This record gives sequence, structure tokens and C-alpha cells, in this order.
Amino acid sequence: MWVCGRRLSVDGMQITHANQDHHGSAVQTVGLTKRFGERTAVEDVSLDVPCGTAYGFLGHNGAGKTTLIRMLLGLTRASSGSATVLGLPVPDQRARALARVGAIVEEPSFYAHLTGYENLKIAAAIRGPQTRYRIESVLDRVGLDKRARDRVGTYSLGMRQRLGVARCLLSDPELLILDEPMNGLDPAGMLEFRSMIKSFVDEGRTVVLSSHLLDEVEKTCDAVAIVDNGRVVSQGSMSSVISRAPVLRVDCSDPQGASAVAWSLPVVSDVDSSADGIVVHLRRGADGRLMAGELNRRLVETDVDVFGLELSRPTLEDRFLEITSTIDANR
Amino acid sequence: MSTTLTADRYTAATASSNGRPDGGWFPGSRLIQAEVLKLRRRRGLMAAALLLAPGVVIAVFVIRAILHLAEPAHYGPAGGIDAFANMSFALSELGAIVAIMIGASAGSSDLSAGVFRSLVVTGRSRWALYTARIPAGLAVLVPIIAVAFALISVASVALAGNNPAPSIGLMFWSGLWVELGTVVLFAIALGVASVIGTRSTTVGVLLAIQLVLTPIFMRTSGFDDIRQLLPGIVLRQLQPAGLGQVGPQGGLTMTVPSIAVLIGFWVCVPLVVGALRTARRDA
Repeated sequence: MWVCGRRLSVDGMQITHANQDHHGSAVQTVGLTKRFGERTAVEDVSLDVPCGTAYGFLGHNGAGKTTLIRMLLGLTRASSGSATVLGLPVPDQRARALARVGAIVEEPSFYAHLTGYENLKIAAAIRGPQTRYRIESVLDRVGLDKRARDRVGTYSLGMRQRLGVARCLLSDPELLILDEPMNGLDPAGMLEFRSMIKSFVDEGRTVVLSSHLLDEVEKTCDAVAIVDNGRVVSQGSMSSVISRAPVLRVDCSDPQGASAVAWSLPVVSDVDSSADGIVVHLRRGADGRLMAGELNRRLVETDVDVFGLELSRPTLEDRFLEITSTIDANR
Repeated sequence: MSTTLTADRYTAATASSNGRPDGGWFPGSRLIQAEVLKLRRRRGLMAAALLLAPGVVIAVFVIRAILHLAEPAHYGPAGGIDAFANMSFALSELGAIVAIMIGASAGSSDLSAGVFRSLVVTGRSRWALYTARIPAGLAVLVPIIAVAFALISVASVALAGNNPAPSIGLMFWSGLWVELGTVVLFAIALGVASVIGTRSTTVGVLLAIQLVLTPIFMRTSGFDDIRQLLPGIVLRQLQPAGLGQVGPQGGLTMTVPSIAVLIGFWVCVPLVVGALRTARRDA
């Protein structure tokens, strides 16, 4: 398994790689910009992707996620700025960096007239000499061992996505970069992909995935960068990016009385009343579940009938829409 | 599902830097084998190639043999030097078609399958990815043409009857001439397909030049400057004298050095242009 640049063998012995001093960052960019003529696709992006995490690039279609990934992989040159992948500058040392990276850019493509096994054989021929010994194991890992001898032209979309991941794994990479890997997958396929990504992170690899599927990114990733119109507008751990005060909605018989009770809680920032009940805004960082239980207990003690109590957990979608709508309003 | 490697394989994998691509522009045998696999598994392409080369040769000699057996007074022996000359010329034309098809496939398959990007993101040199196509395509093409020509030679001798049979020297030089022609067309097709990026357009354009334009210019006088640039006409200049006046001769007389220069041009320039385009193409 990988531990941020240092590889542990299956029996726990530590084997150190050369050139692994990349300060705990799998990907770093400083002021990365890409222009296509008059249009700026990526603007002044500075990122720090920690090793051993699942890191999400989140944004609308056309936000610049794929362009950013293409610059990291050396598929297109940046107009300005710099980037390092696993401590190696790209595109200057692209070949050395990419030897330790597995990537899928947009939809994975294969030779449809060849079998899954043969497609991986071709991919292994491009990688190092020992890569061919991994073909069977990576096919088993992604669950394609029984369909490996069938032509890729007969594969479903989900199977092609899995074969794409298998191709990434051939070189036993430290870093996986997956561009929209869950597009077109059904819920079962997404669940499978999510658990696969988690297993990669558990092995100590770093996974960078781009997506516009907010729910999936929230469930899969430890950290996220929100990209809007080519700019990173927010980045950090999932909890810090989502960070938003919890909200309690209470349907009750006496909104006025309930409001007074709510204000007695220590972490209340605001209370809104209506004919049917109250909405209690807690302070940022407050434990919503704890306060929900406490409020319910106090309301019952003061003979206020509670018909319904709902804790609104902040989601990534809420945060994403909040950020991007604020940006739109300010334009 | 779990990924485990034996200790020995793990150590070996680590020693090779986790699948670091073999460096430099030289493709290496494994990459060339991979390219051969891609071509060989194109069933339609292989079927067409075998049909057009060995298939036509077998069909023609079988038909001629049957006719000779049925009406020996009307139809002479199936073999002999005349049959050898005619079929060698025919194979040079059919072989050109096969070479164009194989070259176009070799040059465009990565792009048309959308796989080029996934090859580039491995970090492997684009020059290596390109140069692997050359020996791989030749490894598929040359044996097919060689087998077809061997069938011509054997049938021409075995079925010669009372007709004079082709000499070993004539067979040798004719075989080289046929193979050379196919190699030149393969190189052109590979380079053009690598630039254009599609097989069908490449095949269409080159077949139009080879099967329509070249015969027209061969049969017309004048336009010598254009005629001597067409690869089909240049290659006709190398046709062994022992094959006689089979097919249009083009009406040109060129010196050996000029023929060599033009053949070198037609082999090298498309390949180099194709390589440059592959190296700079946006993946």
C-alpha cells in the first residue's frame, strides 16, 4: 500500500521510493492559467491536494475542471503558472510524474474490436516491463475477471468505466486522476465506484476526481475545490467547505412560547416564527443533534406540543449553490 | 476482490519504478507486438487483405487450371512465364490496395478509437507510440504479400506445362519489386493517416491517386513533371525487364539515382510528417 510516497509491502515491510519528498502534497498548483484565444478557461488556480485523500473538483459543465486536469497531465500547456504532480514539475518532468499516475480524462476509450484483456495488454506494453503481471489482478479488482475475454464493444458503460480504472491501476499508481468517472452510471454503479475509490484511499493512494454530481462528491471525497468559471472559489476539507450553521425546524402548537424556549438555548443565533412553528438558526459549529434533543426536551417541559422537529444538515449542494449564486449576483 | 502481488513480483515492480514507461523514442518489442495485435485482430481488414492478395491469386490459377483441363486446345496451361508476369503485375496493384488499407489502419486506429489520449497520459514518448506502427504494419503486410507472391511463383512453375517457366532470378527480383511497391504505399498511407486522423479518408484519397490518377497519367503523354512524381509511375520504372511489357509503362525513362531519390522521398516524407503531427497533436 502507499503511505504518501512511501510504499509498504503486503507484509508490512517499508520500502522507500526515491524522490518522494513532495511535502505531503500529491498535486500543487500556483497561479495556473489557461487561455484559448480571448477566452480564459482556467484562471489563477492555486491548489494543494493532500496525499492519501479523495479530493474532488466540483463545478458546472464548462467550469474548467477538465482543462485543469489536462494541464496536470501535460495534455495541454498552461498559459501561465506552475504545477507539480507528486513533487515533479509538469510538463517538464511529465514522463517521470505520469509513470506514477493513473488517469481517465473524459470517457475512457478502448479498441472495441479487442477484448478487455487485450486492451490492458496494450496498455501494459506502454508501461514498464513488469506491468503485464498485474493484468489479471487489476481485472479481478474491478470485477471484470469473468468478462475479460469478451470484446469491449459488448461492454456496458459501467464495465467500460471499470476497465478504465483497471487500466489506471496497471502501473500501481500513487495518484489517480479521474475526470467525471461516474457519468452515466446507475445508482448501483455509483455505489460500487464510490467503494472502489474509498478502498484506493484506504491503501494510501490519492484520488482526484472531477464531477458535477454534488451528492456523489460529498459522499466520496475528503476535500474539495469548487470551480466556477475557471476559478477555484472555495477549497478545503469537506467539513470546512460545507461549514454552515445547522437549522432546526419545529412544527408546534405555540410558536410564541416555543420561540422563547429556543432563545434560552446557548447557541442560538436567530429564531424565525410563523403560524405553524419556528425555525431556529444555531451558531456555526454547534452540535445540531444535541441541540435538537435539548430543544425538544425543554418544549415538552413547558407544555408546548411538538408536531415535528427536523434538523437541516448543511450539504455540499447547499454550499455550492450558495457560493455560485453569490458569484452570479456579484457579476 | 483484492489486489495482491507475490513478494517477488512486488519487488520486481518496485525495481521498475512502478510501471515507468520505457524511455525514449525507440518503441521496444512489446509496443510493436501490441501494434501487431491491434492490426491482426481487425478481422475485416485481415479478411480483405487475404482475399485481395493470396485469395485472388488462388482463384485465378484455379480458374485457369480448370479451363485448361476442360478445353486444352482453347486454353493453354495455367502457368508459365506469361502467367507469372501478368499475375505479378496484378499483385503489384492489389498489393498496393492492401498496403494502403493496412497503413491507413495503423496510422489512424488510436485516434479513431479515441485511445490516443489514454496512451499519451502514460507519459510514454509520442515518437515511440508512432514509430511502433512502422515495423508492426510491415510485420502484417510483408508476409501477406510474400505468401501471395510465393503462390504465383509455385503455380507458374508447377502449372507451366509446355510453356517456359520463370527463372529463379526473375522470381526473386519480381518478388522484391512487388514488396517494395507495397512498402512504399504502406509508408505513404501510414503518414497520411497519422496526419488526417481517419482511415476512410486516407484510403479514399490514396486509392483515387493509385487506381485512377496514376493510370490516367501513365497513358497520357506530356505532364512529365507530374508523372515522375507519382509513386506508382516511379515504381513501374523498377519493373524487372523479364516481365516484359505487362501493363502501361508510363512512357518515362528515369535514371536509377533519380528513382532512388523519389522512392526515398515517398517513404521518408510522409512518415516524418506523420510523426511530427503525432508529436504535436492535441490529445
